[in-house]
Amino acid sequence: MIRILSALILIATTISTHAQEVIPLKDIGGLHSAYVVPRDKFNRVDVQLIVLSGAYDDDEISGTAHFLEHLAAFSADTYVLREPRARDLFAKTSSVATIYTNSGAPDDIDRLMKLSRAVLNDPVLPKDFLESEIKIVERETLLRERQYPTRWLRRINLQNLYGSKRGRANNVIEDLPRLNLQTALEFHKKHYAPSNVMVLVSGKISPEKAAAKVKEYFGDTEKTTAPEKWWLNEKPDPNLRHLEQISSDRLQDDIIIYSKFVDLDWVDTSIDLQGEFFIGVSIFQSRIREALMFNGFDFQSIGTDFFMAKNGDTEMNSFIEPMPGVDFETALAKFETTFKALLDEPVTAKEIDTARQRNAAHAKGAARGSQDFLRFLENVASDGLTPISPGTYAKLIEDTTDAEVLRFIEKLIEPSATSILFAAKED
Amino acid sequence: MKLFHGILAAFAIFASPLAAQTELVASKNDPKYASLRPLTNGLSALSLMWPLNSLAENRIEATHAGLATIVNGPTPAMTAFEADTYREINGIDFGITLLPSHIMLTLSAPSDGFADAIGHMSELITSPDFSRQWYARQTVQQRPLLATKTRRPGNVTGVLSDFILFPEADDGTDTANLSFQFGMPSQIVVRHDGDVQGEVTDFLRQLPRQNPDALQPTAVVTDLPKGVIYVPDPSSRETLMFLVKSETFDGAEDFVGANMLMDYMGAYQGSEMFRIIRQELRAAYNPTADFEQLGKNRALMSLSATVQSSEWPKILEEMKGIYNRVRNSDATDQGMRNVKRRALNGLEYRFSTNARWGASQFMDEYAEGVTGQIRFPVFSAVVNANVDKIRDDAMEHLPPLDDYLLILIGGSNPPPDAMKANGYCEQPISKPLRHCLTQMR
Repeated sequence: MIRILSALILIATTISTHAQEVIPLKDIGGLHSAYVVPRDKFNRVDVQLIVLSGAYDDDEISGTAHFLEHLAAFSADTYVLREPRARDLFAKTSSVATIYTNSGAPDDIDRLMKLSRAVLNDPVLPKDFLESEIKIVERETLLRERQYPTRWLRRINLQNLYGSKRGRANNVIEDLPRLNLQTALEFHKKHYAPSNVMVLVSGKISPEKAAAKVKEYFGDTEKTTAPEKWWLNEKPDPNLRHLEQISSDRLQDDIIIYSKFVDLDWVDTSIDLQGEFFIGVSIFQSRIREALMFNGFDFQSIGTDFFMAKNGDTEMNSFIEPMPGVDFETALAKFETTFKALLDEPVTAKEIDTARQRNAAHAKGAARGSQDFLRFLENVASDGLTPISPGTYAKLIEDTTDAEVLRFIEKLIEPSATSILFAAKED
Repeated sequence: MKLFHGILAAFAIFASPLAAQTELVASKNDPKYASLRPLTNGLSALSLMWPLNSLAENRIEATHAGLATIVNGPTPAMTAFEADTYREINGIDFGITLLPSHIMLTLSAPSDGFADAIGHMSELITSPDFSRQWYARQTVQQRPLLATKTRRPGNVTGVLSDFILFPEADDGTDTANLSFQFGMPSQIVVRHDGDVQGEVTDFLRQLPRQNPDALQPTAVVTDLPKGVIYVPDPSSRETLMFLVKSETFDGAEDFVGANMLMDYMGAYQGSEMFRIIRQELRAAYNPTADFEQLGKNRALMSLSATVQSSEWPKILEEMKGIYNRVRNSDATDQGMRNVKRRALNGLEYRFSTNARWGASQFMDEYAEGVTGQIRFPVFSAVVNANVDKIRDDAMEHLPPLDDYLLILIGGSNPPPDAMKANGYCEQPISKPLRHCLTQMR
């Protein structure tokens, strides 16, 4: 009944968000780090436990990190709660992190901390339950594949881009029969070590109380060796240009997946690049939209997402749906011509300022909703970097120079490793 | 529940001539104006409702595409791209919602810039520039989803809701050549802590009204058929089971009772569907019960799960067992209390932060407008719900399972002949579900 017109991002004009201070905590035992972000907007407290390993860290069997997320979440509830009907679990496995979120009223803080702490314990549930959870992961994986075809199209394209089925690419469907409890428990032992875990406490709580609670529940953890991010060293051939065509009756429309790897070789850590990344991406998106969606009508939709790893490696994935009657070659040629000519007209100071305003509006929007706020915090934190709140983000955007932004965009559009997938619909 | 204040306002109207092929979507009369409690998230909102000229699905989609074209278009002072950027940096958002006999546009913006946002919306809607190329793109985007391919329960619900509300698929109009103009709305709902009456009045002064002789469609109340729809797909190992019933309830208490019982069955991780189908049988990732409001005291009730194809008959029996046990008043005290607590929290949060949802609720209750105090009987029924009584009277709230339609999508395990007695249709995944729904009607 309800159909949605996507009519753009969120909120307001000037860069003047309320600063949500991100305060590092001490006395955190062996944790990688811990922070508190006090805010009074909602009468709630959120505890995010971020394991700094995710799907990219599946070095043998894709899907292991995800399987373990299920086990750890249910196990933590079993440790702490005896009334499972009272709450839903919120846990997710991203490319680089696994995030467990426990939320409740401010006076619920002890329960939230206990639930978070229990994630680090070895998963303890009846063995047949642990093993049979593989069936649930299988159902979930196949379900997501069916419901969101871009998941498997992206996977095919990234396998072609990286020449690998591990690390930055994955092989979750073929690996489903290989999922096993032993590998998951080994993953837990290696990756759910305190030094690979960040704790974020946000909401209606004082810094002093948050510090005391983190000390109380995590102060006994000991420093460990953080697992190596081996996949950071796996980069595609910079001259790669791979093109594949497939067809499927799962698709409603033809679609092109366009993946590009950009090696930002002048930095060691992405923390130095956050401002130019967000502003540069905004300008890129805006110019592509203006050229191909406002001044041209050969495309139904173009959506691009960017991922920047902690070492600055940047991956771009565009999902391009041509209008009916526009063939793949024509659509690709128009997209690539626009891409290459993106800076033929110089980026103006006004354009950069508009991008700053766009980002500031996004930050203000995120600050309005509790879930958006949490997603905002965990974005950069997933790489083990100091979290950026909407307030600190605004300052970051202000402090980035125009020259830094231009250098980023220039690098983005330089020729580099590219993989293209034409996926045609079948009736 | 909170009571809200509504006011009726009349506005001066000036009609303007229309170009050939342009369809005017407008009310014949002055709009009715209601003010609901301001949102609590720093945003303000204004919803405009226009009566639909036709309830045929092809016309609905065209009208939706037409409105989307207009609000994404240029203003006298800005190109379409400049207008788009203006909205981005000022946090202005548009949302379009289809209601049983109206199309609704909701503008939201930060409260401190709300008056300017109304001015922007006014320039878009009164601008004569209708981009045919943008309309062509929107038309493609508004095509019905093939839920047979996506297999998302929400998509299936959307397709079924459209079938119920707009049972006529195509009235023969060549919508590709249409242009649209949106004139006087029939209703306006505002969520703002301040006075924007002047801005709204200025906007309305520029809008034409519908010709008094224009025919207005009459809504046809349709229900889903009973029986089984089977959509085989030998290439998939999974089958989506979707048990669904469209229902008209006796009143708000009956409606809320059914809603809470369906929530108990499968809305949360503490539900019976989750506990039994997922945690005990290990059969599905997302077993769910859903209750989708379709208008005043009307809803689509469903139970769904995606399972291994070979297992669907067994799991279907389990789902039926859950439904029948709850219908026979076998629900726990704690579970029902949790359901009510969640309903109250959800109601307050949605009403305080979601302008589209609030305006839809208003339209469900007051499709023809209202003067004086605004009351939402459904909200009161949630607040006053006696969960013990709802559980004990479950059979009065929930229809028997024999009245449900079963949709099976995916796999190659067909239903046995014994299941086909109430009606049966088989279709390929390349056709929309409406194909079988129409045949079985």
